[in-house]
Amino acid sequence: MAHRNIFRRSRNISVMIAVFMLVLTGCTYPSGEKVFQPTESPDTRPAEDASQMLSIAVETMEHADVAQKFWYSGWVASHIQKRQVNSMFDGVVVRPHGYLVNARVNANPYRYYKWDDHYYLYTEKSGWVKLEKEEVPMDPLAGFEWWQPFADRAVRLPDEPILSKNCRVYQIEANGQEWVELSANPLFEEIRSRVQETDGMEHILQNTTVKMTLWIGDESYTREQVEDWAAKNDVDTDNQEELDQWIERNRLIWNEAEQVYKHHLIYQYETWINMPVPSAGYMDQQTFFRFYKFDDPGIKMKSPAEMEAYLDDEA
Amino acid sequence: MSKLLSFSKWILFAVYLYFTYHLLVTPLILDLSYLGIILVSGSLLLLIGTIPRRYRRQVLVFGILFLLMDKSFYNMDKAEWSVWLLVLGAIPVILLVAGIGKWYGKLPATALVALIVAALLTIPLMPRNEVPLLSHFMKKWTSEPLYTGKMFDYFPLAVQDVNGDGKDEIITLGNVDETEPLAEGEQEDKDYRLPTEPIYLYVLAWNGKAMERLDEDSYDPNEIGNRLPKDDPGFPYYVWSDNALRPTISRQELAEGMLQFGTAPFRAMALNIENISEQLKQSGGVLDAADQLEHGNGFHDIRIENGNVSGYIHDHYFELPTTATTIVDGIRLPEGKEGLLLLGNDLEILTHDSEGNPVISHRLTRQMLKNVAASEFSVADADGDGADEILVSSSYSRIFKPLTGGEWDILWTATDTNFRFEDVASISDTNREELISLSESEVIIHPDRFHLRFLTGYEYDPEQGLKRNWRSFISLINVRAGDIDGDGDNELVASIYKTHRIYVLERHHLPVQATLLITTIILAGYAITRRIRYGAS
Repeated sequence: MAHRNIFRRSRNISVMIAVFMLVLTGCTYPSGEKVFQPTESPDTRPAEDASQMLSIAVETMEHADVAQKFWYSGWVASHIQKRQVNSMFDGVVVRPHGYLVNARVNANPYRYYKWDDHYYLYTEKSGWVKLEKEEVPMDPLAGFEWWQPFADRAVRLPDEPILSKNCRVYQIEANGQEWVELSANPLFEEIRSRVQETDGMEHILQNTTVKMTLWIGDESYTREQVEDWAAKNDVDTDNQEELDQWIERNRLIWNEAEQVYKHHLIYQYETWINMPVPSAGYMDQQTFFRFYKFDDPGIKMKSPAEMEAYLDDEA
Repeated sequence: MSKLLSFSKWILFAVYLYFTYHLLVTPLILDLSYLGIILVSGSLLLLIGTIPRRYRRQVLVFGILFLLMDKSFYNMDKAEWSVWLLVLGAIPVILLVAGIGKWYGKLPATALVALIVAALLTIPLMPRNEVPLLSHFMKKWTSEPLYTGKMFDYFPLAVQDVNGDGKDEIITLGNVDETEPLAEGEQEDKDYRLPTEPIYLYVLAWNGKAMERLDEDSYDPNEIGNRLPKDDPGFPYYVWSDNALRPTISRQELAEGMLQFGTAPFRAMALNIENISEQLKQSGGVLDAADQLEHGNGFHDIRIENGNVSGYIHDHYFELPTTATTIVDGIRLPEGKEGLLLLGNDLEILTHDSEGNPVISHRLTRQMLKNVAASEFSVADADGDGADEILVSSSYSRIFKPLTGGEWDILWTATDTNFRFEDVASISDTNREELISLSESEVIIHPDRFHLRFLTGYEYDPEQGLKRNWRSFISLINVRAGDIDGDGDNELVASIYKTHRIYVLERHHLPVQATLLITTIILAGYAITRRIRYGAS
């Protein structure tokens, strides 16, 4: 009996060895489907209201009570051939005081904290360090209006929910050279002289394309919902004037057709830059930000005094 | 004496286990996934069954503890701890293993000593990440990390004959000879800019025993530096100038600037322009230039400048408007025509008509191939018909064949998004050119996040696709083939991601895996015979 078992095992061993050798001696990688892979173009339609919606959304983000604090997360990802360089940012904004940034640049993490006139930066090597002054002032909404000169060419993409919030999707495409020339902003004013001074840079910009997509919230609130909301914000809803002022400040816009108030926060913002790079083809660079959990009671930032304690710890 | 013999036997067992685990067991699982796990488990149960009962626990405990201990020491070594920290880390591991081995495994003292000695010796002699190489290669030489900083994960690498001595040299970048490591606790940058990283050209040549850095006076650094594949580490936050990668922004400005959310793409564009204009200043506005092409044909002295590509087809000068930025290589087209492969937003082949005028004969557009920007292109005659194909490495790796009349044929497409062609050279004893590639295993270790690619040699077969000649389950990057030692056979030069170590690998033709398998069979046969003769006790 024992002998028979052993022989059966020997046979099993032979089978295993055969499979083993088959695996180790070679395999093939058959081809997948031999077809070109076209890039799909989305359905678009003209968007005459793009300029107006951009302004409304920026104003809503600027003034609405709910937009005074929120979470954000985003990145700049540059793809040049096999090299991909990312910078990533996430954290919270608490207006008008400050923000916290958990950042990575080129896969190296660091953190940045701002509260009023207090600025701290953390790297693994240095720990938390106090900085003297800020280099770029806090202004989370800066830059959105810089797209206004191109709003007349915007198109509307199919509506899309972002984190279950229904959004209107607007897209603007521009050539790199006209983007730099027409966009009235201090950053590009500085850069224009550099472009003119550098042989070949204009050709680079002529062949650059930029495509910006903005997801603007399109949420509806009934009159009752708005009154509840206002009441939660200590508004005396029996006082029509006070209520109207609050509605006005929060940019809640009455839609007669649907008999609801509309609210237009910015939920997502993405820009692709396709740009020639010397000796390395063209770069695809994505700048992406998402804004979420508006007015989240969980948003808490340490006070500067608490940050100072970190410095003492480090010391 | 008997103790020495016992110690030796346990050491031998550890050596056998170590190589079998990394060269037979792991490849089987990585290649066959669940089937591999079933096969390995089945074989293991069978083998355990052949061990006499009174030794079974000892052998199992020894095997498991040895593999775990080796992994633990390897991780500690990889963490680049100081010597004291290493000693402090190793002591509890040794005590724990010795405790389990002695009280649960009932291992004799000689086995415990063998267990610890073997696990400690693997790190200096043959660390576990290098063992998979042995299936087809011998490690001929390994460098120390050539770069001492933390900002960059890898640098480009080329293998070419720099000094005309008939041997290929390794060209890469580093700074280990030039920079002093920062002292413990020293701050890297007091002004919180990103650190400036001095980076120098490293040309390494074989001196008969090891690779040695060539004296910079013995070559023209500009000319040799241009042979490196163009790379933009840290773009747009870093730009090359004067032997250094210099930051274009500080951490503070980057964080504060990005928190003006609407300005983020404008700031990215401003950095792009700053970076690219610095590159253009250094090149005098030339986007790319090549005197000779690797797949040399009639095209030479090519330049891309001011929206034109110019150069010579044999002795005939040509100039043509282009949006391309990059000269990829020369290419042999069907019917003996010569082409020049150019990369811009599209991939184009420039050739000449019957009157010698330059024309674009083929174009692969972004509409035909996704992810052109993140792709790399190389030229090789994969099907051996005398005309070249284009190997595309990206998340959509493919082999394209230019046909007459501007048409394309797709010879092969990858079915996973991680496959990459690295080089084309003869590595096997067949003397036929192989597509040296990095391909993923059947086992996806971390879906969507972390794909290990393994070194594989393929040949193209029109019927079957890519036929695998060999595979070593080691995850390498920047793999290049070249005759480093001048013996007429190609070696492989490569690096491991983020280590900045260069490996020179020599192909051997020893049946390593078959030998291990046969050893296992003989041992199993011996154990089975013993069991038949003496029974399970």
